[in-house]
Amino acid sequence: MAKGLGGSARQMQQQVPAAAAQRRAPESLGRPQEKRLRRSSSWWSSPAGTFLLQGFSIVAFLLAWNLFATIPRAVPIPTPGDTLQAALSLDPAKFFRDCLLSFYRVGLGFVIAALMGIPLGIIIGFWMPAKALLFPAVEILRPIPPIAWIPLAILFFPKIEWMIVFLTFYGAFFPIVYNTIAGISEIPKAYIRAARSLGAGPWTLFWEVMVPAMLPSIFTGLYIAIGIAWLMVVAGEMMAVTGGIGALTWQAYQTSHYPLIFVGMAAIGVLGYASSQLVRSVARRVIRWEVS
Amino acid sequence: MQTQSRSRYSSVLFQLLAVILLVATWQALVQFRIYRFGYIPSVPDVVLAARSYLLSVEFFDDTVASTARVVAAWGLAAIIAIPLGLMIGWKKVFGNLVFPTLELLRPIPPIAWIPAGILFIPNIEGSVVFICFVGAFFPILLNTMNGVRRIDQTYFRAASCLGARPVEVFRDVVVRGAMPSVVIGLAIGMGIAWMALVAAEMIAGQHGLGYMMWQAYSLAQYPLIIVGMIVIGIIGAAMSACIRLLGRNLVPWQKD
Amino acid sequence: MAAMGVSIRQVQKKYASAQHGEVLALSDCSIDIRPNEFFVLVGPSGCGKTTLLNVIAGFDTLTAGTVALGDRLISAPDVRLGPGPDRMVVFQHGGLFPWMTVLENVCYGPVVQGQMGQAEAREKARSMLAMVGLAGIERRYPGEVSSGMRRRVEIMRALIGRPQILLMDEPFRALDAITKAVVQDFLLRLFDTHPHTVFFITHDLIEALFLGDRVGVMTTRPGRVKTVFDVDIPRPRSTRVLASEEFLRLKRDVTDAVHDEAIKAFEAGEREAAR
Repeated sequence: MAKGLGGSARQMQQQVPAAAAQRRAPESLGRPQEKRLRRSSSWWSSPAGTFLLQGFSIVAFLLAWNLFATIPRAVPIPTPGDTLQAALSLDPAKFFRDCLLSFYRVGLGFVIAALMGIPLGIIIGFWMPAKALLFPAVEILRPIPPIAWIPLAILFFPKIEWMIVFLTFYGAFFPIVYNTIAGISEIPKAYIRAARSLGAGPWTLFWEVMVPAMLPSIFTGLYIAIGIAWLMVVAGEMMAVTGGIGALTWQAYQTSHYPLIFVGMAAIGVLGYASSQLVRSVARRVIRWEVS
Repeated sequence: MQTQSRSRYSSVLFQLLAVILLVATWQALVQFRIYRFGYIPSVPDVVLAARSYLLSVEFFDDTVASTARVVAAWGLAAIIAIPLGLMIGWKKVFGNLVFPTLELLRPIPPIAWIPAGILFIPNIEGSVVFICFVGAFFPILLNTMNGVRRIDQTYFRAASCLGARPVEVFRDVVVRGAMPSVVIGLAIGMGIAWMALVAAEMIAGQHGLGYMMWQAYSLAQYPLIIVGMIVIGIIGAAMSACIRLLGRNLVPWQKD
Repeated sequence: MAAMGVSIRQVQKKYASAQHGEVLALSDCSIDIRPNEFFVLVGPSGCGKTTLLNVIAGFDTLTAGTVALGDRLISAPDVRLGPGPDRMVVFQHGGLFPWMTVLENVCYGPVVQGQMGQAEAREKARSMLAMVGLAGIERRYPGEVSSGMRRRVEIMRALIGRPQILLMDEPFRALDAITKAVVQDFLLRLFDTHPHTVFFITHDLIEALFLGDRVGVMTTRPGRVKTVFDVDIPRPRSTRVLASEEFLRLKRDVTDAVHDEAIKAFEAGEREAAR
């Protein structure tokens, strides 16, 4: 190998001057310099510039929407102004009740899903026979989108209310089960061995080592689940119009109160975002050792 | 010992047993009319309905209509969201300019866009595609964006050291470095688009599997509902398998 | 050969930190690296070694002083040349693109600079890999070869464009001892046959003395070069020199010099943590 190195060294030496002459064009080195200098002194990377750009983004969005709405067409699209007006002219008590009703349905389905999904995930994750029997069933049901269950759910449940709660439950259930199982499979073996050699019994091993180790993954599941639960409640309420913010949005369309559609969408967005943040803040409090 | 028991339980035979158990449970619940399971179609009824539906022209038409809609919406979302996500992730200025608006729209689930979608696009075909598009758009966008942001700074430095100009940094570092994450976004986006499709077809559709299920419900052909669910599940699973295959070709350096 | 020296004169680097306010990372730091010299910089962690390397590479700016490559000014408070192929960096955690094959990685520089065509670059890369015993892995991805091979490929990628100086930022840090010995030996032999200017950062004193022509010891923050040791061990070197009288004497001296600084850095760290 040493011989080979020496031989090719001569070869390399010979090629040097040509390559060097070819390359040292001054502008090829000047280019990156200019670029860098400009970037480091730009106003838009300052905090004020960032804020300005972000504000501009929102304003531009509202202007674009306004412009889009003024395009003449058979059915006019409401402008941001129309939407604001529609929001202000709503009966606040009724609107609040609709929001609360949707929130309650999501919350109930979500809590049931968590209470069932986490233990099921733990059983499947720890006990091989359960995994062998239950996991394929979970796998078969998974590709069927929860929305496809709506007609069957309407058929099955005697009350619409139960049907909607079932839908939110069903949407939330699978992400929770999956992430619980994943959390268990990702527990580092070293933790379990360390706990055992420190003399932990099965009870402490489970509650003080395994549960904390799988909590981050469980919370990931809960975070995904709450998003899907909101999606399901909107779908359920649109299909079976019995109160709630989804029904409000759909009725607005059916009764041609178009600006109200956007009020409904905004409310759904805000409520969905708020519930995700709720889950996130609980997670932050429970798993304090996870930085991020 | 652990691996031995795992291989024993994950055998094909055991999986088959699980499926049989699921179907048997369903049949038993219906047969013995436990709670309201008497209202649910039984296994033989579903098999009969499946046999006539799967051999009919409607099955072909519905499948083609649904698949075409979701693929069109997903493709459109990919064409728009991937470049947008790459730029947002790469250039902070661009991110600040565009992302606040998208962040505002993101928490609105695709289903909530159904009335607005019908309003925007008066023809049904277009509005269904629009709703699926909304569903696929955000997962693709966010995963692309985070994919770029997670690229190790070292690779940008290495590229500029080697003499790459911004265009080449974009082509050789940003695009390729974000690719694993883009593929994940494409898979999630397809899942959500498929779900949004079923909802949109049920509420607003003409043709398509979701519409077929809703028709079956309205016309009290209940076994057909379950046939629809199974078909939707199978096609959905097939599409995610296709995306996994696509991913393996787009990200050949990652072996899973 | 295109190799050039680097002169670093009274370099100062100040930056604003969220936790500690204004931090003086480098102050009055001067080094002269001669053409075709293997210069190693050692010092306690956090002393500003990497900052200095980043300034030379063009990733970072300085607040006072000058850095010149040969007779070309590359960094001063008002002058800044961005990174370029004349100052190639071998990165601490590996800088090979995981999404390109070994061959594509080695070819990348010459092709992207328009220095060679695709075919010519491939030919060149192949012969360079072959001469250092890396033939046969060209079509594999970096993730598919061993960590020691990855380091060697990255060094070849850096050298194919004939940089005026090679900047190495603790490149063997993540390697196990045995792999490290293999790659060090590789680098020594490569340096013997293809002399080039090297600026090498490490905190492994044995590595520093084994590889370097001169070893600079840096003080704790604000970093500056305290002492420069000449390593008068003839090349080509083999692991046998590790037991030589001269080597052991140097090791003792360098260890003493670094040890003082390490203690200071440790105490400063304790004070910062307590604050």
